[in-house]
Amino acid sequence: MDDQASTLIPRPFEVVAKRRETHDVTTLMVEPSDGRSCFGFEPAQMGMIGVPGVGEVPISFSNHPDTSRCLSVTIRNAGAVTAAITGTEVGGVITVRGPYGTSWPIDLVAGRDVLFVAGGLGLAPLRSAVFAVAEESAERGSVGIVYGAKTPEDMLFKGDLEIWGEYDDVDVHLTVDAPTEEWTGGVGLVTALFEEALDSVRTPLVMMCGPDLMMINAGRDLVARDIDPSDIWVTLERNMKCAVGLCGHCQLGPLFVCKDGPVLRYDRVADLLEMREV
Amino acid sequence: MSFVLKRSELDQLVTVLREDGYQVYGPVVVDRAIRYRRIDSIDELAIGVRDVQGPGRYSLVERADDAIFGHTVGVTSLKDLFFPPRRAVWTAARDGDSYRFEPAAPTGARVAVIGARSCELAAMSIHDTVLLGGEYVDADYEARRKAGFIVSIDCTEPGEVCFCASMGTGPGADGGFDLAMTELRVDGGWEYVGRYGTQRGEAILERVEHRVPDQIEIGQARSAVSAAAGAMGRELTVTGLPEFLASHRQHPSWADIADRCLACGNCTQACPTCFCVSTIDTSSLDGATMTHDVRWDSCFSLDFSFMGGRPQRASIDARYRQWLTHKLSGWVEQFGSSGCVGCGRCITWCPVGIDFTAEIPRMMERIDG
Ligand SMILES: Cc1cc2nc3c(=O)[nH]c(=O)nc-3n(C[C@H](O)[C@H](O)[C@H](O)COP(=O)(O)OP(=O)(O)OC[C@H]3O[C@@H](n4cnc5c(N)ncnc54)[C@H](O)[C@@H]3O)c2cc1C
Ligand code: SF4
Ligand code: SF4
Ligand code: FES
Repeated sequence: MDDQASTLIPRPFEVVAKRRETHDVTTLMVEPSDGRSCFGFEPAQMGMIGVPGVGEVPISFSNHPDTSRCLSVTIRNAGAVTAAITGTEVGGVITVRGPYGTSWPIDLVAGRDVLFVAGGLGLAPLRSAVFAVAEESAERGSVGIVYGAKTPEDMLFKGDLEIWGEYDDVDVHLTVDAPTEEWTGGVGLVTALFEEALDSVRTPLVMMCGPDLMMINAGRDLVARDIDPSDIWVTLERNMKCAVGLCGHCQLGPLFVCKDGPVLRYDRVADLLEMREV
Repeated sequence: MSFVLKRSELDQLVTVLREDGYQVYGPVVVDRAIRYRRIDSIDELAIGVRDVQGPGRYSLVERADDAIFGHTVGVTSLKDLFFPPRRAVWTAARDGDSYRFEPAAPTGARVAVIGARSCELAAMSIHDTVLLGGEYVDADYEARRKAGFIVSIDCTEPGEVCFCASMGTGPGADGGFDLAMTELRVDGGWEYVGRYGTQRGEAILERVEHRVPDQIEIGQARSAVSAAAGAMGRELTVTGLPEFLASHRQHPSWADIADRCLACGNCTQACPTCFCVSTIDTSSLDGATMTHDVRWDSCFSLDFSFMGGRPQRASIDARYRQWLTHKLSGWVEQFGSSGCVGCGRCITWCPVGIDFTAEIPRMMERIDG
């Protein structure tokens, strides 16, 4: 439908529903308002989301890939552009172009146990993959979900976490840095939950998303637990202005995170992530 | 197939190109430096001047003769003409509650360049790969490039900062032009011994008076170019360099260079292959229309790598390393060639005279690296 050049021109999407996830994170459900149909995406692919006159920023699609609601984006209010996007009311219009980038290796799941590791907002690009694997992949083995956030209040998709925990052979492990009195999950880094998570998933395929520092620590920890680096997949974040390999901003060593990533195999990026300021 | 033009016939070439609707650009002296500017006649070109370049140094001196192309590359490159510093990508107009988007209108400008150098053609061929060779292309560049006409001039007197011979990009052009010429001094006058690069070039030259050169003239032109290659004083050893840089991201030399580097970004702006851009979104005062522009950016700016509330590359070490390692190492992996064509601009226009052709051998020798 879209020719190549026009996919670089944004399209107007109407905000049809809005949900506040935490004090600074909002999910917007959007539908095209230009009379054309919505586009599909693969889990972890991103769009450039914006407000005309303000700017556009890279955001992962966070909805169930088969949703009837077209697209949803879950956005932390981090600055000027994200404030303008999340400040758009239902009925208002934002811009979307995409989908761009690589996706989670869902095709490798057959016959494997799977471990999802997410830190903070990192659950957003994993959400569509968890749906695809936990709900739909008949050939999968056991699934573990390890999710860490700053506080219980910062946890995203609490409803989903409950539903996922009820699926057969799916275990959800939660941890926070700063617990409240009611908190019953773990306290500390996601790595502190690996031991219990790896009890029920054996030599898993790992899909991981979070801040660089979390992924560096978690990657090291998993490798120390004999998980093959080539079985670990991460999704990375870098400054992006184009999302299609033309602006140069997203480079990590020889990689363009926008087109070689955002999902990359850990053994390809571990050295670069470990190094300061690459 | 080849041809020879007299100086007056070279001027005819400019006239024919203008008649065909081209905006003709050539090297002109502006503010005591050579830049590409629009010309109506060859008389406006930088005649009888030579450039003296060195690390952090540039000046123009008078030549003993009145050669038109007796200088090397100027401060600006073809990049300015085909990949301009700022341009619109799309505009949006409010349409009820929504917006209507229009891709920016193509410029329609047809640019002809007279006097492009071999290293610059190599740089354009690199831009072709970067901007047109992937899944997504830069439509503005594509339109300008398709409409462009290139008359290149071989270099017969290399400059002090040139190292195209070691990069395999000069001093003579072997592709990427519509017409190419060597400027030769013959019997007190000037001759332009040329060759065709495209049918479009042939068609234009048919309308210019010219004659066919003899074997001696062709031989003279060739040996002038190969003498220039032999006289080049600077070189960069590229064998093993991409691997060396990729595996020495933590070498102590980065900090030494960063002590001098001002992170001004001059090198990236002057470089004919640097392609990084940023975006600027603006809106009319009444909010009825919005424009999305791209403009040249530099990996030396702190904004460039801004993420999660801070720059990813905060130190100048990291920014210089990014620039050099991308240009000479990552580029090979990304695009199949070095990102450097050996034009020397980054050496000349660096205010503190950082010269990577000297830094890299020092770095490779340092055993503590
Ligand atoms: C592949 C990918 C997926 C992402 N998915 C999500 C998501 O699902 N939800 C979410 O909330 N955020 C996501 N982000 C991060 C989001 O893009 C930034 O928070 C956003 O760009 C901040 O822009 P701002 O103008 O509001 O903030 P400011 O801090 O004002 O930004 C200033 C400038 O820096 C750039 N910038 C700042 N932070 C980032 C960053 N982290 N990444 C890229 N550019 C940055 C912006 O483009 C902007 O031009 C993702 C980033 C990437 C690369
Ligand atoms: S890196 Fe320097 S010498 Fe190489 S092409 Fe760019 S400006 Fe010219
Ligand atoms: S190397 Fe020179 S020109 Fe480049 S940023 Fe540093 S000081 Fe500026
Ligand atoms: S975001 Fe522009 S090159 Fe990757």
